Amino acid sequence: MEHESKDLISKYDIPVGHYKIVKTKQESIKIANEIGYPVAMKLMSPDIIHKTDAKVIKLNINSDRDLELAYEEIMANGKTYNPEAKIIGVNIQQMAEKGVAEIIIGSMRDVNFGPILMFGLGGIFVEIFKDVSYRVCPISEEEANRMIRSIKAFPLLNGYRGQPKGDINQLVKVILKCCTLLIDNPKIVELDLNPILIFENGKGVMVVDARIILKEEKV
Amino acid sequence: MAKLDEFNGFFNPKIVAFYGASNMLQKFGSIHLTNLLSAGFQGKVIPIHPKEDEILGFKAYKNIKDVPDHVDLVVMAINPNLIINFLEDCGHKGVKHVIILSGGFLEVGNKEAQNKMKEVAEKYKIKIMGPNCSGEVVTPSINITHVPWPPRKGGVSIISQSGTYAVQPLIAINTKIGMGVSKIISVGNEVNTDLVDYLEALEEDDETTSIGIYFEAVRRGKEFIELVNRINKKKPIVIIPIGQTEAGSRSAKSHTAAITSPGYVIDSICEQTGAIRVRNSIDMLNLLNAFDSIPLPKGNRVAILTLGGGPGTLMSDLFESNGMKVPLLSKDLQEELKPWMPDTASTINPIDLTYSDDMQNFLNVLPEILLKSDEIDALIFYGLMGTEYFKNLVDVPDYMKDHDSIITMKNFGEMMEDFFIALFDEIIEFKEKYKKPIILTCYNTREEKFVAYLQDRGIPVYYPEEGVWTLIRMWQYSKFLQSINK
Repeated sequence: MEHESKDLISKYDIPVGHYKIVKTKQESIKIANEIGYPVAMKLMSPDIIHKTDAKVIKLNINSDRDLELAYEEIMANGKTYNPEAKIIGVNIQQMAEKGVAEIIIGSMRDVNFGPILMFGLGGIFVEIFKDVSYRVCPISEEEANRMIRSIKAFPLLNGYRGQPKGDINQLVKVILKCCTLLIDNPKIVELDLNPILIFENGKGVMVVDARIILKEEKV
Repeated sequence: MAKLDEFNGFFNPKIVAFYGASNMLQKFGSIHLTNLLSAGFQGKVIPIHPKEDEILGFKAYKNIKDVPDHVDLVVMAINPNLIINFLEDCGHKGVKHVIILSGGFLEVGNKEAQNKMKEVAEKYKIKIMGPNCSGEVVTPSINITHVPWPPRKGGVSIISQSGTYAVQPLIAINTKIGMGVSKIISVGNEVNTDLVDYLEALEEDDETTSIGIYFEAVRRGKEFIELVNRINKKKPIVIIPIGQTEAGSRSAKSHTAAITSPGYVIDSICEQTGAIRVRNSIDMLNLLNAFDSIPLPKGNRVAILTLGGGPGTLMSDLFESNGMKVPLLSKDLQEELKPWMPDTASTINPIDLTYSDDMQNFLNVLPEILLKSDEIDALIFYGLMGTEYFKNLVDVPDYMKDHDSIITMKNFGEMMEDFFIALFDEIIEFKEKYKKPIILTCYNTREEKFVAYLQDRGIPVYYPEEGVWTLIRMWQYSKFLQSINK
């Protein structure tokens, strides 16, 4: 589950947006006020993978009143989408400010070489252009830097035509931490941090969504 | 113990026993035995045969245990069902190195037989090359493969998980590339020695200057990367990964029971280690040969010296779209070239002589002016007039044969030989003198004796585009070395 994935990556000091899983409407208001508006809200269910299709995501919620409405709507939509779905709760999450770009860090495990890390710019850059770079873990700081610089869209992270420059140094650190996480946890078959927001230089990065697939235990 | 010493039985055997050689020369084992002797092997060969007392003129033994000498290396090309028992015999005899050419093990799903082989080998501390492999070449005088053309001695070594790619390119080396080889190793199913082991040995091997790897799958991925990373800083490593598509991967599995990694994994390993990935076997041989025989380019500026506009233009396009430059030459340098060129020629680079029968200018005077200048880092030629060229030129119909000019030309071709050799010797010296890579390109192959003459003395002679790609990749490696030595 997403929150379990986020718990694990938080342990490796990889910055994740503030979030909490709540079970009631009252609780959601309390947490939203703790985190501070605006917040995002998502229904957490192992049976609903495609949250956008099921309309169980609400972004930019700005008040207690809107939050209550969103809570009811998401619950109803979830039930309509899949009446059998097991509901774990609702994820209340800090609404991230706009970053310089959205990026992706992913991984797979190769039968001969172990964990392979993938880096790329999110959205169409990954989907259409397949503009990504790969490295076999472990990698050095220098190599992580080269990995970032070797995608074609790198200028977009580096202040292209007066745009703000992204925090490459923090991105390098996150890549290295992902490598450590993958080496420490051989049961992870796939890691998918998508999207990660990269902010202006000095302001770091933030993982918005995370998914980890573990090797199935043979009983 | 150093890896190279551990493999001494493979690389430096004095007495080699053969299972599977018989008096029928077409048998696989007989071919291997014969090829070893044709390569000039000075040691002793001992056939092991259940019935015959003598094979191909050599005394044969029924059982290896009857052989009075110590046996350094055993070669097996027999029915796979017989191997385990013979391996036991070899163990008792104290044999430590066995090449098993026979297939029929893990690659056909016979895990049990392969495990048994491994067990027996461990029991007697026998190192096995194979099974399901195509043997080895160790220059100057060991050729235990089915291809009867051992290469000349040189610095290129190749480790191959494909038997065919290990040994069949010997034909191309013999007819086209003229490369100098140190070792070729076909690892087969890697029952107890693998790609990583041989790579370690080649790292220690002073005779090996560049290493090629035909790569399907490496079972010890982490060690492989560490090793490539370390070796590639001293000796360039060129990799051809095979089995990168679904069909390719399926084929690899039935071939050596290997599970391949996807192409992007191999690409990232090359990125991380600086090893060079090429896409076909000829590119690989051309590149390894160049690494072994000419200096690395220190920069990316190439001079093209050509007898003809087309190749000059195509080569320019290829260089410039792949990270190298064909720079305009300075006025001064052009002035220096001009007196030695025909009026119709272009001095700007490519330096195109169009046609010139003055081979001394083309092969010596102009190249030296270019190599001496600090405006270029590498030189590539297109065009070669050898004496075969002149001799063929006079292969005219009978009624022309007595014409004076034909007779003159024929004599000219024959007289030219010594003169041409002197010109080529000069080029070979330029390589050392100016420490810049020189590649000659043309469509002639080793049938033209001057192609062979140059290749055998370390000047690569390739087809035009092959020469270009070779330089491009040499520059890629040179740039890598510069980046790590910063």
